[in-house]
This record gives sequence, C-alpha cells and structure tokens, in this order.
Amino acid sequence: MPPPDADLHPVATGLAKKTVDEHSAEQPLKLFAGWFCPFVQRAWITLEEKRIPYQYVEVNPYHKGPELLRTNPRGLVPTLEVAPGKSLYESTVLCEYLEDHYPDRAPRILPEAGKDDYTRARARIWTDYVTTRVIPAFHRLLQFQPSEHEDGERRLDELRGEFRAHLLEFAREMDPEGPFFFGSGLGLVDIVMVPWAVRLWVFEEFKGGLRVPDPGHGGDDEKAWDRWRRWLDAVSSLDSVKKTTSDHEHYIPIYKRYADDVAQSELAKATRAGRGVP
Amino acid sequence: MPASVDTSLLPASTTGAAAKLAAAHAAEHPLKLYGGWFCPFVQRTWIVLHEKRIPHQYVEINPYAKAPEFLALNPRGLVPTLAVPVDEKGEGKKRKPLYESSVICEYLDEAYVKESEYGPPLLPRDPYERARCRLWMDHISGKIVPGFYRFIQHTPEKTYTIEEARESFLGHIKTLAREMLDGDAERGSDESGPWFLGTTFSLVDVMLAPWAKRLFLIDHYKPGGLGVPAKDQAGADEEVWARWRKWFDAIVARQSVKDTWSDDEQYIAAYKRYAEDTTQSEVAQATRKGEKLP
Repeated sequence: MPPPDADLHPVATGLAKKTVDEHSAEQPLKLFAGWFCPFVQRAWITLEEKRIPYQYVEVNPYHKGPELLRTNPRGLVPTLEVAPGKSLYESTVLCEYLEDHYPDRAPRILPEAGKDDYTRARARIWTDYVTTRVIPAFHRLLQFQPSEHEDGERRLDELRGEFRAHLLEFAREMDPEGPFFFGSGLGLVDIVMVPWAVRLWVFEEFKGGLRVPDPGHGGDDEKAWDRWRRWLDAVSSLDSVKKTTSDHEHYIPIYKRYADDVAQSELAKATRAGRGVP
Repeated sequence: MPASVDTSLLPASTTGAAAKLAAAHAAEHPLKLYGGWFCPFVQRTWIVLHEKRIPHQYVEINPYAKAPEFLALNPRGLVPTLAVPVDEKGEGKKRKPLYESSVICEYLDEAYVKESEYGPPLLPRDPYERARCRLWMDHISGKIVPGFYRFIQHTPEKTYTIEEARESFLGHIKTLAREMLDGDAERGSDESGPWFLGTTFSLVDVMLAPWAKRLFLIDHYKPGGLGVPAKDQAGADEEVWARWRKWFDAIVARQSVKDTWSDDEQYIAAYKRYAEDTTQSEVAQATRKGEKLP
C-alpha cells in the first residue's frame, strides 16, 4: 500500500509554477524541494530574494528518488546540492550558507560578521525560537483532535492561546518601527518565520480560527498585535513569498491530513510523539 | 520553581581545575558569563572563552535559586547567559544578554577575530565547510545530547528499554564518527588529526566535549554501562569506533576542556538525580515530556 500522503498534488501550481519553470534548466546549484513544504520555502525565498541562479528539482518526500538520496541519504527536503558530491540540508543552515557564499548578492539577511555581531547572535536566537517554539505549537494546535479528549474544546482553546502567546512573544521582540523583525530590511528571522505566518489560514479552515483579537480589541496586547499585523502585511506582500506559493486549493488536502492527524511526515509523527521539529 | 528540590545536596560552586579558572576570572569585567559549574551547556561557552583567551568575568548562578539581577538580564533564567557590553569599546555599564549555548559560541567566535590575540577561528572560513560544521553541530545538539539524557534518565518505569536508549544513543555517535571518517578520507591520509575537521579544532568538537566528559556517569549509574565496544570487539564497526576513540581521547585531554571541569565526584553527586529521574532541571523535565531541550 502506498504511503497515505503519496497522492498529494505532484507539482507546484500558480505563481510558484512560474518560478519552477524559470528554474528548470540545468544549474550547478540545485534545490531539491517539495513545493508545499514550509522548510523548503525558507531556502527558496532566500534564493529568490538574492536572485541566485539555481535549478529547482521537485521531490515527492514520500517517493524519494535516487537523485535525492544520492545527495542526502537522510532524504530530507530542502537539500541543496552546491557541487557534485557536496550537499547541505537543514533549512536555516542553507539560508546562512547562501548568505555566506554569495556575499555580494543583496539583500544581506544578517549583519556582516564583525559589523554587528550582537544582532547576528540575536537573529540566531530568534530563528531558533521559531523552530523550537512557534512551529511545534503550530503543529500541536493543528493536529489536536478535540473528539479524542474529554474536555476537547477547552483543551483546543488552550492550544490556541499557547500559539497566540508565541506570536505575541515574537512580535514583542521586533524593532518597533519595522516593518520587518530588525527594521526596514528583510532578514533571516523574517524568512524563517514567514512560511508559517502565511499558513495561519489552516486554523480558520480546520480549527475554528485562531481567535486573534480584532484591531482595537487587543487590550494589554493591542500594541503587540498591531505590530504583528504590520509585520504580517509586510512579509505577505513580498514578491519572493508570492512567487514561492502555489494555488491555495492544493494546500488544503495536505493540511487537512495534519488537521485530522493522519499525516505521515516526520514532523507530524514527531508532534504526535510530543517531540519538536525533527 | 519547585520547592521540593533539595538544593543543599548540590555542591554550590566549581571545584578542582574549574575552581582555579573561575577564581582567575572573578574580577569585575564588562563581558560576563553567567553559569552553573555542572552545566554542560555552560561548559561549551566556557571552553570557547578559554580557547580564544577572551577576557571575561565568570559568575556562578544556582539554577534552582536564581539571583534577581540575573533574571532581570535574562527572564528565561537559563544558563549560560552572556552579558555583552553594548558600547563600542566594551567599557560601558549597559549590558545586553545572549543565550542559547551554540549562539553564544558562534557570537564569541565571530566577535573576537583578531588571530594574534584570540587564535584561529573555530569555524572554517569556507562557506560550505562552515555550513557542514553547523549541520553536525545540529546533529550533536538535536540527536546526541537528547539521547544522552534519555539514556541517563532511564528507569525501569519508562516505556522504552535501556537497550533501546543505548542503541539509539550509540547510533547517533556512530553517525558522527562516520562523518569524521568521510572527512578524513576526503582530506587524505597526511592530514589525520583527531578532530572533526582533522587537525583543526572547531566548534563541532566544542559542542560535544561536555558530554564526552560526562559519559563516565553512564558507566557509573546505568546497568550495562555505556556499551561502546572495546578495541577489536566491534566487528563491522571497528573503524567507526576506532575513530570515535581517537576523538574521545583527544577531547578529554584538551586543555580548555580539562580546565573547565570540576572534580569527578561532584558530577557523580550532581547527576544522581538525573540517573534516578527525579531532578527538576528544565532539561530533565523536557526529556521526560519528550520535548525539545530548552
């Protein structure tokens, strides 16, 4: 029996398809990607922002071809093949690699080493925060099944609150002006967070909403929510984000599997086991 | 903060070599490392400070009774925390905090670059090699270190067996050792140092060093011990384990690792509660819940 998630839409669609088509030609730098994967999107956005030449290679993570396994025996996406026999993985490692290896490709997503090392370090702290706090909370909420618990609705509401609390903590760390995390320029922290920020619709679709207060109704958190909204507007409007996003309808069956907690990705399994991002 | 933790059982400060080092860095200095003497995450940052001979002040924090000034600097209250002076000359009174041991280590390596003063960099300059190091630092922090805690905190009540914990832990170690062998092969046989990068010591070695030093605790506390095969007993894994032993022997002999180590008996006392799975440290609680380490 084929793995249950194997019947997802096989290729990028919409604006992402255009980007894929523009990057199908043979190139030494190859991004092995799943069109729907938010971790892939981090590396993909970085490539697009910096206009680095690359070849996009679609991989079905549940039918991993020999090409992917040759470059990364762990078979994870994103994998970046930088030269024959030389591959890298881990989405944040890839973003930092692209920054380091193409120092003349604007925009810089981190302050240059030696110029503002404290901010570089803070960027890594908040990048780590997204991966170790925000994403697991996102998945705990998304994969929660109220019907399987005695006080399911109350627990669901608790999880909504926990996730909102992480968004607020993130927003409170932002430069007050912004609109991006560290100010007027897009940076690494924005890039690692945006794929999940643009997937928040899953909670409206599947979990009865996130219940973020409307403008004017945030109480003590009004300022933080306002800052969150400004950040979200700015990152959602980025060309690099739109160009790496496929048509909405194709994400729905994928995220429905998470919402019903039957998804078989490593991340889904880790969430069920109470673990963080693998 | 749990009231049930008997903090009087915990030795209050550094002993042995670490005590000498802490005493040598007790004077006021704008750059401050807040640490707990027994904490392996603290030891990572402490090792880097000493490898690079970075002037600093070491401040001992009792993680179960955190001083208010410390919590004001880092509300998350975890050690290590590095207080970084914010003005250009590093002379000012204002401090900004950094935390997360790997972030602190990278920060120190990037901020203190003058080789004549601070020695060679601890990460390669080549972007690909630097990224490869980060990958394996991630493997250490994400696989080996949590595996260590699952192993040492195993009790018969757990849902997993000690054999499973051992096999999983040793498996992650072997994966790292294999990567070292691959690196050795790529560099060729005339560059066969013990470190992850061969003859060059790096942050990859630093990331794992504190747990290498603590492996003896598993032999001390766990039935069946660590389980690393002895020489000529490893069968198909002989080469992999030989490479591990080569790295292990080198890291426990590294000066900065020895100098940041307190007396063995103190660690035995401190880790008793990990071994019995009764400690209330955040790492232990996260391990019990199966969560990512804080």
